Amino acid sequence: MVDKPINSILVCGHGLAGQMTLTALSHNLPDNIQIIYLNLKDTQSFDQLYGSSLRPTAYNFHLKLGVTEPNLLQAGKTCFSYGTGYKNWGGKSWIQSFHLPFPIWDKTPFHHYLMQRNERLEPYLISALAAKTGVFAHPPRDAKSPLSNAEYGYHICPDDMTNLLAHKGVPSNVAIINGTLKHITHGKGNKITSIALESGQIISADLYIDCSGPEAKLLSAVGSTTQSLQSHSAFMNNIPIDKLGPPMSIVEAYSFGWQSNTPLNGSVNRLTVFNSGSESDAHMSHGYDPDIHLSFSTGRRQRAWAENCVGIGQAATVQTPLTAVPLMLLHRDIDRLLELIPITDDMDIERREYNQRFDDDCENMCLFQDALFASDGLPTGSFWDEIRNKPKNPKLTRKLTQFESRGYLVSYDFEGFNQEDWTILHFGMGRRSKRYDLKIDQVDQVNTLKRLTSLRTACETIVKKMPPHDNYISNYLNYLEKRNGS
Amino acid sequence: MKIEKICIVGGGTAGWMTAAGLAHRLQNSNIKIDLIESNQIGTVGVGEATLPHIRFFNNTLGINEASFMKETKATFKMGIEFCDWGKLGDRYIHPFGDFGMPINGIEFYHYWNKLRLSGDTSHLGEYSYPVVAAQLGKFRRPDTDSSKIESTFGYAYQFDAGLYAKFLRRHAEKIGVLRTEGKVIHINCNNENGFIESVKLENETVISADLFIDCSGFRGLLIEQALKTGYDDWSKWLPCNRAIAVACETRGKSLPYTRATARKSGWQWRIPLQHRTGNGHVYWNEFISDDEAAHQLTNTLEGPALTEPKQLYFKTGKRRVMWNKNVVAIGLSAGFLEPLESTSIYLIQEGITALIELFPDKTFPKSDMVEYNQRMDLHYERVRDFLLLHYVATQRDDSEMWNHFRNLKFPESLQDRIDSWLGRGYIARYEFGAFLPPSWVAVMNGQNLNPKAYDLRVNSSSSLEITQKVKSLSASINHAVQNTPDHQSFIELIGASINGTT
Ligand SMILES: Cc1cc2nc3c(=O)[nH]c(=O)nc-3n(C[C@H](O)[C@H](O)[C@H](O)COP(=O)(O)OP(=O)(O)OC[C@H]3O[C@@H](n4cnc5c(N)ncnc54)[C@H](O)[C@@H]3O)c2cc1C
Repeated sequence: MVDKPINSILVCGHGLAGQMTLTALSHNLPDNIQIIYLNLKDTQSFDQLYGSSLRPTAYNFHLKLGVTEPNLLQAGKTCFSYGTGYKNWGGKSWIQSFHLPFPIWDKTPFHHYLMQRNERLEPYLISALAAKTGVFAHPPRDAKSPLSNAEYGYHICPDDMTNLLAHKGVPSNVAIINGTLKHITHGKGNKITSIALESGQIISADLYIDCSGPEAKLLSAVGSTTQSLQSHSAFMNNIPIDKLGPPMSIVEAYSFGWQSNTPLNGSVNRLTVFNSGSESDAHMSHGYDPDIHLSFSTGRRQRAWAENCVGIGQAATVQTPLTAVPLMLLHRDIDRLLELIPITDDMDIERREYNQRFDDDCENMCLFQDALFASDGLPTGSFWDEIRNKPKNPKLTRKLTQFESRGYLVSYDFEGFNQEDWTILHFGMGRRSKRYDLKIDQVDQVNTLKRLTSLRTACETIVKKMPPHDNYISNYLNYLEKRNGS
Repeated sequence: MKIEKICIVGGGTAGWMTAAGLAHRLQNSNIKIDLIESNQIGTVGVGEATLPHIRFFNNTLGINEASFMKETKATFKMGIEFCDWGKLGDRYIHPFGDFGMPINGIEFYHYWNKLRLSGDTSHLGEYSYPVVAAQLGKFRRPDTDSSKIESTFGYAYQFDAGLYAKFLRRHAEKIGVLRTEGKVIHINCNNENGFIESVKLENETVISADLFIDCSGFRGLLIEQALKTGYDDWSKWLPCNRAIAVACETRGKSLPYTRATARKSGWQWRIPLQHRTGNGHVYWNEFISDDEAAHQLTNTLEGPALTEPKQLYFKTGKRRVMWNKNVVAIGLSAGFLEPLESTSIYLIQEGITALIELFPDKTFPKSDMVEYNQRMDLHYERVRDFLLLHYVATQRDDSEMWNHFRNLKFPESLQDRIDSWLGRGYIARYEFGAFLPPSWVAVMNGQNLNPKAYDLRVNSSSSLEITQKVKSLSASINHAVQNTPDHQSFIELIGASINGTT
């Protein structure tokens, strides 16, 4: 039997994942492939669980969707981000800032110098200092300036991103249908053959992309079961503010769970995550009657691609937005999908490669999130106990063992978080190694001190000259407006 | 409790690279480094082709490229030419570099796959700057401007490994390594923990140390003979187990690449140095006798032989663990995967780097050892799969060996990679390992594994656009190559020629 070429793709979903997948496909696939977007109505949105933090890598990803930085900033409440401040997290507070790369002196990673002197990392991280001071500036081209190492990401409101993408215009090969799913018909090997809507309309395609959120309406219908980890609840509010806050979000641990406050242009996004038993404590701490109240389970589908159906975003995995992991995974899903759009209806190769990469991405990225929980100082209570009782991934144990034993950073293929992220995390969480690189004792200590002082002073001096985040954004938006107007 | 004494047993390439690497790193540390080598035993005496990673090693030691090349009689290497691997009469270069440059963020080979499937008969190699330059015997260093086609490659060297060891020996001795000549005849282990405490030489000298590095070659004097570590035998994947090597006079133009020609029961290397050409026949003794192998080699030499043929025996595989107790095996004592892609010196280098990063103290924490072994295993396994690819991606049916490979069931990881390529021109990637996607593309394409489909994103550009871009790429490569000096002139230009004055 000759394999049938893929001619049509149905994206079934709503919100961020649906819109982003639609834009990515329509922007990157040839127009002889028909794309149908079934915009599901009457479906609860869990988009707030994608969080509002985007890492620096989002910049290049957005370009693939035809979205530039000015587009992003002009859309709603977007602002810049230097990272996340973890407060009272296992008794520690630190800024998990974006930073690339750390200096390497005498072929020895920077953190070994600090470990020998028992120093903190933060005074040497220009992005952390700037975040703390509430200032921002784009990195200069001059690689010698410490500011060139201050990588930055964005704070966004997922709905703003969805709207931005929705207004990008629809190419001729895209058809949009608004409707409610009624029935899924299966063919040979459990493949989806068509979808019936409440309206009576029947849609069929060669490939089905499920962007329907945690419920995974299509993927679950082809037998990809969930592997659920924890059940949580979340409150969310966008609290209006007059003045834009610093370019960092704050996450704080409480006995009921944790809360994040993310400055946006015009509001602060407050998200409180807890276990259902602690709702009243969480509510009190949240301080507002929630605009959005979600109940959800974290976990993942056993297979992200089953038969002729691929789950994207929360349809494949739900993670809490304690870090940028949920959005990172969504971006990875879409990148992976673009690279593996099947050529014919025999999708064995694509499915195998996709699932392998999904498993790796999911596992590797979650290591970082899990590492945040690997602290004795975190509160007790059902939320934390459940996490503590989860078996630790041996890959994480390897990372922690190596760092604690000798400051060595184990890396896996395409982890998503780089060595700088891990170093900041370990230092922030108070992990120090018993040993440091042998070279450190051989180098001239006076010279090391001089180097460290000069780096620290350079960071402080530059930060003093940087404009407040608020001013920078308004000037930047004014500039963009003028440029667009002229 | 810091290590005070290190003893390296073996003064071949592995021994002196390790000595130089460690001594450089441990300068001013008061750690004493001894190296023992035996003139009586000698070294394996082969190993002339390298991978680009070696430049990083030399740079770290502060080695000047021109003087190093002059002293080791080195030439530049831009890749390996494989002849007769897919079918008799085939030839392709696996370059240290890319094919073209991405178009709209999509790798060039996807576009080429489309062209090929539409009837275009050009070769992928025509779109690779290092391939075209190498074929014409031209060389320059890569451009630092990444927008230029001349930036799309890396390079390595072809050198006299014996001279390289000597060169490094001088370097290492200058920075404190103490060399002792003599044969180790006894190894003294601690009764309780089995750690090696000292080694005794034929002349009764006893050398003790906290950490021992076994660079004793295939015999694995410390790691195997003393510690009985065990060996993972990979000959079911890589069954070639013997080699015969001979140097001859060079004929013709100086070429910046190694050649590997497939034979009926193995393959033959040609490595051009400045003063001679190294040749060797690697074979599987199941299908050819030593005499016949030697005969085939000497019959195909391009010029008169300069040395007596040297016979070598090996078993491909790796030591079960490369770090056991207080012994770290580096070089042939750690494993050998046969020289098809010049990976041994690279693996030595990986071993040294990992040891430096995981340098133990006298308590020898288990975690250092476990991490070292895990890290090295990954490198060996990834190299193994890549080497095996060369043998199984074949249509040859003219000998028992090739029939064996065509029917071999190989590791699932490799089978999946091949299927993904054949099915849709997709290369499964990894980040850590010697061979990244362009290398896999080079070999699969070069050995006639042609995908039956291509990445659909390519169709977002019209056929006309693609043809124009490909034409302009080809023109820019040809233009760049025209402006690239001859390999030999470049060696002279930078003062690396053995005939020139410094
Ligand atoms: C056929 C063939 C071709 C190859 N081609 C390449 C290539 O192109 N590129 C590449 O990267 N690699 C190649 N290799 C591998 C390369 O030759 C080795 O990796 C490299 O030479 C390192 O060898 P070594 O130092 O581990 O061992 P050896 O060169 O064997 O050195 C062992 C040392 O240990 C000493 N020793 C041993 N026993 C004792 C004792 N009892 N007492 C004292 N000293 C002792 C010896 O005297 C010697 O100094 C090839 C190998 C083979 C077999």
